[in-house]
Amino acid sequence: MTQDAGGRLLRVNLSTGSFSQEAVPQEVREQYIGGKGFGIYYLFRELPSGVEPLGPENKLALVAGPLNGTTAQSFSRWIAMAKSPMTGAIGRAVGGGDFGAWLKFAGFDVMLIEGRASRPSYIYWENGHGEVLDAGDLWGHDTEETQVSLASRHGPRTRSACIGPAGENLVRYAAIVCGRRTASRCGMGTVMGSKNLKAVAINVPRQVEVARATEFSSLVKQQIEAYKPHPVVSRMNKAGTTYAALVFHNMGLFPVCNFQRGRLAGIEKLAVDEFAKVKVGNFGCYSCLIKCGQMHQVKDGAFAGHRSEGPEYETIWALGGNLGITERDAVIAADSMCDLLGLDTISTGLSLSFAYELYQRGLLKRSQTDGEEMTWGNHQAMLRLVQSIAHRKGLGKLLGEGSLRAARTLGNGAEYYAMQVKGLELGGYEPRAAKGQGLAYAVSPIGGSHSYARSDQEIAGDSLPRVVDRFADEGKGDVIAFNHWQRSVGEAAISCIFASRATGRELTASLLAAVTGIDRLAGLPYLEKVGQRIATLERLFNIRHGFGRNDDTLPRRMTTEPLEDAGPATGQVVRKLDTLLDEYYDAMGFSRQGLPTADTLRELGLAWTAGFMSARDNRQR
Amino acid sequence: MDVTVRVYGHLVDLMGTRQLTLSLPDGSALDALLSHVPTPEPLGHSDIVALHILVDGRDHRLTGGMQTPLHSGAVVDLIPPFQGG
Repeated sequence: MTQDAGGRLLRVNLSTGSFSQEAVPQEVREQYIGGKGFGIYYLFRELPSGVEPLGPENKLALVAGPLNGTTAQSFSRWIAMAKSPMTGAIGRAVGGGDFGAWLKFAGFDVMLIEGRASRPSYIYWENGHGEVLDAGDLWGHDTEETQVSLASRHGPRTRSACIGPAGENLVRYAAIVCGRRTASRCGMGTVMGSKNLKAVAINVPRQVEVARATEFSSLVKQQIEAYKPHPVVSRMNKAGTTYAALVFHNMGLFPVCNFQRGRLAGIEKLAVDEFAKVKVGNFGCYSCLIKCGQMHQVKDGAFAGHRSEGPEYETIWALGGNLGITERDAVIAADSMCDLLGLDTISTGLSLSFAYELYQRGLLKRSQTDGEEMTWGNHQAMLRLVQSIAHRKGLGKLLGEGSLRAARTLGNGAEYYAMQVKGLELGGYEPRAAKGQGLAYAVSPIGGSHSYARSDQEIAGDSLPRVVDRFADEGKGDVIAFNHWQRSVGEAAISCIFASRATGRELTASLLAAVTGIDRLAGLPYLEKVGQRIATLERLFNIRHGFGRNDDTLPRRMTTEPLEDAGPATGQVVRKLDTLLDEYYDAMGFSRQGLPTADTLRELGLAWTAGFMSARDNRQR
Repeated sequence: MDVTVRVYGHLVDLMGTRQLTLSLPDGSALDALLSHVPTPEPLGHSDIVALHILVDGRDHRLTGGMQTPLHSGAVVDLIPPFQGG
């Protein structure tokens, strides 16, 4: 145990096979904490405008948080960041399993991967030494086979994060997988594939530094005590997020058939108790008592034998109700396939629902669908197309580009039916039934993310900073800014979003201070400022890469079509998106054009960023 | 008047159903309904405070709190704390 825990960066250049280490400067540790904070700090500085996301000049940051690998509970997720091949904006995906802890055990907060290997390769790190090794024999293998092979080759102490065939084939929304947990969004697995990088494998003993060990141990005991009676902990263990489908459906939040309506006949077939019937166990990330992962195995019928660590709510929705599918076992099979092939289930599901709706409207003919009858509820077609997407065959080649690019290729008004923001498909929360959530989608720097600034005041009844009427057209921009800051701190820490209620903000802050030895991290106002700094730097990254207010928008359906058949949300439409944007920008300290003002940059210690921005952007400020 | 109550999570286990209809005197408010919810033990203050309660889809704290007036055909959702995906 030392007084100075954490703060190392490992730079790996795949073009040259070189490895080098750097200390993360103390002021960066204080101002950005770790996780997403470190990721955006380095990528902002090192990725100039014009970088091609799938070119060797893009960089992939795999980042841990300061609490990764410690005994603190539910802090073992990890984050992948790069310029996104889906959006051209900043990309970030959050993964689970063990990889974050192993990255930390290796002594690193950041692994920054540069260049491109000349042939399929993997990074192998063991006891202070790294190599870029040949992955020719792993190429083409699914994510489970790959991880088993690496553990067999290097020993059972090895943990890896890898891509599947989807990443190798440059499907734009490929995931990075550790165990059966995926860092799914924004095509971070695609960036790995573009670098000929099949996996990162780490073989090290379990050890991690804690600055103030006695205090830290006491805080962890407090955390575990707080977990015991907390209802979210027991509920997440019992059912994970499968619980959410029926709740959201009854609230009118569950989008059906590509956001055409909000009611699904047969939703009870996707309800929590149906998944409980085929549950065979629990799975958890490293150092997490909750073990929210629900292992499901289909026992009989057409999908007998399919086994999945999931599906979670988003997948039940994206590959189920979003496609009019209520066949539980088909959703489990699809979830399993996506994990093994290395696909983001949300973008897969919405690329498919985009195509299903085009088929419904006669804009896609059977001659274009590989002969598939793409009618709502056709789960057999869905399963075949998931395979086609991963292998870029037939219609899957087009859909593997994501809904926005596919729409632009097809033309003929198809873009209207692409349910995306900035090129990234939306999550499973209907924006017309929770208009703050609509704003959160619109302003998310990565595109249509459901979690970046999720409006839990509307969705789950949170009362901080205040209760919000989900149907109100305005007056919630400051709440979404608050959420954006809070979640940015959460992703710097990297706290699991499922467990954050049980741990609480105060205890999280104390744990951060104790593990790092940085006292000021114990203060909530200080952390809020860190969150604002990270969110603002992501905004600056996007401005540098050509984004602005016009990109902070929603699919036109949300602002023009009243929501149909959605229980209490029927008839709702997002009427005042521009007003909401103004409110959000005001709260963030941005101009009405969406640029952080000079005062905001000074206040957040970001004045240095002016040297990285174009003269035009600096003038407009 | 008849009011529909939908419950989730552990409340389903407690009540043995996801949905039921309660008959209440005309003019009843939310607090009256909660006192009639058939759980083995009456819902305590801490149980109720932890719930996300929707009346016709709206957060009850924005419609009058425990005094939110109910009408015949109203739908009340009682949602324990949870996390989405």
